[in-house]
Amino acid sequence: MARIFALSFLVFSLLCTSSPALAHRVHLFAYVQQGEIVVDSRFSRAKPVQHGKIAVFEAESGKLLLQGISDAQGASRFTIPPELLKKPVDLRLVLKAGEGHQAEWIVPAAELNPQASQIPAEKPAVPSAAAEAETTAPTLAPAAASTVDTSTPIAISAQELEAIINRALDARVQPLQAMLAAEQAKGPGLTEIIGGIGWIIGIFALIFVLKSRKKADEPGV
Amino acid sequence: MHIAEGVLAPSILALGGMLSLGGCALGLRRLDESRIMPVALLSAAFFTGSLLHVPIGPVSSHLLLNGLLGVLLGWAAFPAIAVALMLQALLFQYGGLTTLGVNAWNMALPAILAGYLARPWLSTSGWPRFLAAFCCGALGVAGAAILTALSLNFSDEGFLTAAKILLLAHVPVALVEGLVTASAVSFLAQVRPEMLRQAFNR
Repeated sequence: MARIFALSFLVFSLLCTSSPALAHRVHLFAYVQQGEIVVDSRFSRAKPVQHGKIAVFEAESGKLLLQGISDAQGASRFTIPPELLKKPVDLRLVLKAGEGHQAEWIVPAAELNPQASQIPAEKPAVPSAAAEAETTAPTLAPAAASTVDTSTPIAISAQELEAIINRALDARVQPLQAMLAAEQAKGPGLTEIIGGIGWIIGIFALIFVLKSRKKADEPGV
Repeated sequence: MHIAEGVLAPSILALGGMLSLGGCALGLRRLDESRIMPVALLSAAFFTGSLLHVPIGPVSSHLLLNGLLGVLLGWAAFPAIAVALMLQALLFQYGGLTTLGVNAWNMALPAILAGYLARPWLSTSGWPRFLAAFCCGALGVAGAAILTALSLNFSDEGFLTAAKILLLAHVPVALVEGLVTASAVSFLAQVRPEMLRQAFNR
């Protein structure tokens, strides 16, 4: 028995020195960026899935909307069609990496077009800004009139400002999104491995108990 | 080699599940209590084996160790592989619970067949035994690749493309596993020869 322990120890020590390479699970991670769905696909241990087939479905009806193939970095970009921008629905992305490997990711409608969800918020915002300008105008009339021209440039710059903020945010968030994607595709940790071995010993101990109980019952019958 | 959820049709999943249940029942019935500990340890080895990567050539894949289980455990390899696959699905998200039956069948059946084929030579010594064990380890992997490709034949991937990719990707794995199995068998033949005889005794 000690030899078997030695053998399993050998296997386990080999495991600790194993090099990162292709594993048998695929991960799909997607986010929306400037009118595009950006897809990141990796095997576990963060190796990119090259030439994986990615299909975009309508989550509810299952209708196929878009199709693409991942590049050497495991990335893929889809331009969101205008009709989807107008009427966003939840999207289901399916990655087929071959050899029976498959992964899914849901892009919620709200994420698809933040502008669409902002339009109702923006509409009251513009009149209120104008109203605010009007209400504050009497009190600050001389200063406001001299420094700020009118309310119309404010309305335009609000949209521009939003675009600028969006761009800046995208640039800031992109590395985080990439990090999240890589984090998600990490291999199993020591906790899972040790826990799994414990479960296996436990399950076979249970089988042992059940079998020996059955055997103990048999001669009595 | 682990087929993921949602790839196969429900009928194939059900068929695989039933076949594997039968295999597990048979394996458990033939399993003697005195051999449960080695079965559990080898099941744990199979469980961790999928984390060992063989980075040879352009493709690299992980070890299976199913041939080793087949030659050492006989039919008891079935429950050992099924339990390990279940925990891989639960803890590592390799494969899936719905595809557990198909995956267990794909990996356990070739292992047991290879074990049966290698059996006559296991009681010999030296090179014949080493070669028989080597073939057993390599055939276990190759058989699993062919069966996985066969299962994928019922999905939208064709059998021939899947088989070609899987077999090619697993050539280095098969060689390494042949060596692992052969060294394990040679080692056990010296220190615990009764373990090799027990596998298909009951």
